[in-house]
Amino acid sequence: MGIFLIILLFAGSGGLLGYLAQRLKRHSNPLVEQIDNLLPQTQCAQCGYPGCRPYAQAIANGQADINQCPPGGQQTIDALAELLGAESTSLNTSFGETKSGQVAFIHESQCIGCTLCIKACPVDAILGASQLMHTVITQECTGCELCIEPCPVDCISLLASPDASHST
Amino acid sequence: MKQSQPAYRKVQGGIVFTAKQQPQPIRKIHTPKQLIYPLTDQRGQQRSLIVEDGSHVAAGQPIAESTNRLSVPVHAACSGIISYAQPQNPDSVLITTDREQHVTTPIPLDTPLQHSPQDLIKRIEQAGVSGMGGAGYPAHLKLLAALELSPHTLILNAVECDPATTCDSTLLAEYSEDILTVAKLIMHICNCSHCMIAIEDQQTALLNHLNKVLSETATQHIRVVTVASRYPSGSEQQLVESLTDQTLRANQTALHAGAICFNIATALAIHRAIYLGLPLLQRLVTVSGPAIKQPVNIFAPIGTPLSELLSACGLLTEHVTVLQGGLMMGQAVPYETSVVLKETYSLWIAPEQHTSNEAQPCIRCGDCAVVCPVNLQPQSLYQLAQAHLWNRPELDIDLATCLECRACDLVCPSHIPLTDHFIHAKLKVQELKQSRAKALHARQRYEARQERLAKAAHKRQSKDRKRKQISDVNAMLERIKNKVDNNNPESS
Repeated sequence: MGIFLIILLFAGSGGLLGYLAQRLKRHSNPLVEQIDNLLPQTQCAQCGYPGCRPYAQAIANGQADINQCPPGGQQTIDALAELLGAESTSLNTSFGETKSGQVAFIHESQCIGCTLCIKACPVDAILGASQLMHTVITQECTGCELCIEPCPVDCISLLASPDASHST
Repeated sequence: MKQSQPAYRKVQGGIVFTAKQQPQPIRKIHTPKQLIYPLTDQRGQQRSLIVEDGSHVAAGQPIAESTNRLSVPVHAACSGIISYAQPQNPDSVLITTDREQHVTTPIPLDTPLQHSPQDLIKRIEQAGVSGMGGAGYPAHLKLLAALELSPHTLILNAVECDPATTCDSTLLAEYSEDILTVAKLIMHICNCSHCMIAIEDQQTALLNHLNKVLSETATQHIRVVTVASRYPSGSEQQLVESLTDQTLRANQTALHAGAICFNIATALAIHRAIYLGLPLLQRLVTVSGPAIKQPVNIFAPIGTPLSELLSACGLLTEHVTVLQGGLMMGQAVPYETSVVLKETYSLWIAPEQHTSNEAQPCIRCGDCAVVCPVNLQPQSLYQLAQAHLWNRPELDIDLATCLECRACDLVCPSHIPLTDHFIHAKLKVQELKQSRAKALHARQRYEARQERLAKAAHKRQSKDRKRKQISDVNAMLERIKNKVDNNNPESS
């Protein structure tokens, strides 16, 4: 009798754990999540990967160095080094230079309404329609510079961010 | 009343100053030549002017107000001519005062205790009363919060604990009847059952005087309590903790301990607003320090330029450093452009120093941890701040607890300006939090966009597939038709 109870208990808890393992399965690597949380989320692709999460994935897999993120700068490298227990290094400048707090600005008199920058913006921070003037939603702009290159009339320039001016 | 004084919990840490000054006589300043009112308050809230450039205002007339609930209106303390932008401080308004003063007619309330709390709070708000003990929190907001949380105890704080500051105890000694009257009023508003007037234990003369007044007026539910003169026992958090024997976490206020706490000067301003119908126009400022002939308590209209105030107090040298907020908590302010604000309670004037003690490395003696009134470990906090580990959660929590009382600076044998490091670290942590919030927001938008694009691509694909299916079917029909046509050529 006792042995059946024990077998029942084991089978029951085994079944429960199996069910919970399926039910509460983590769909992503928690390390990737943690790394991604430290990245600046500009989605600028300067690191050579198509966005912040792919770069986080690459770091977690050991395929990329932690010093390839120019917008994050030294602060991000330090934070990543602390998280991963790695030696902190300086930014690899072949990926770009750190520029603090910038936002894109469209010179509206020159804009021809081609919508190319709207397609390039990773965070939907550009507003406009075909043949109509476009503008940047300053609060949403991450300053990733991805809209600069596609513009056929070079009417987008980068300005100092209004948030950056009063923070020291 | 005095005999059964219960023992209150001792404040942890802190510093004892032996030479505390006794209350001093009150002086009054002549009407200043000009008054300057900054339009941005210390929380960065912008106020808008409601008077025209060049117009004449009477004393007591409101000149600026804000729609923000954290801001209180500003009144002209003296009558004069308004002029808008100043070259030296553009974000302010200037009043050039008249020789003869015009005053708006005050409308006092006759029987305030019969008015509703909301009514009285509205009046206090219109009088522009905000905390005069340094923090500048609007009094009406505190009272409105008290209406909801219904505290049982009113604490009137006359504990300065800063060794140089005497303005609150002086006010209490001078206007004790008014303070008792307003204590009853605030108890009526918040429905408190009793009231404590807290003073320092060194001030025996004041204690005797107050007890005499209390026994004469036979006021029940109000008593005078003494707390140890241990800096910073007069900070609201420390005082409430020691009087209610409860521990407040960071970001908790006195109301969480069932108490509502007002500075004596604020209480007096509430008295003036209700019983005399006067807005908050002037305040008592302690001016002391080695560069002043004799420490004074002086009534100055709000908006008086410090230069004018100091020359009235007798400056000994030309080049001075002004610490606004007293010897301990004080922060250096530019002497030429600063003015008396509602929260300016104490000014410490020292000759300008060019040589200061060079900071030496931390020797981990732990003296700072002993004096810290909120049980922090300043030496570890300092190490974290030095290592720029802004994202450490313990740094965030500890910095939120730090009162910036500078007790650790004072005892540090290596002369490390710890509090300055912590203030800097607070800014850095704040900045990091903001950039993290911004990054998360950007990620959300990015992911939303990716999702939308994927959906659109999927839709396009399924549309394409459908179109292809239709064209396939059409082609098949065409083929069948051709075949049929070919088989029966004569029928067509």
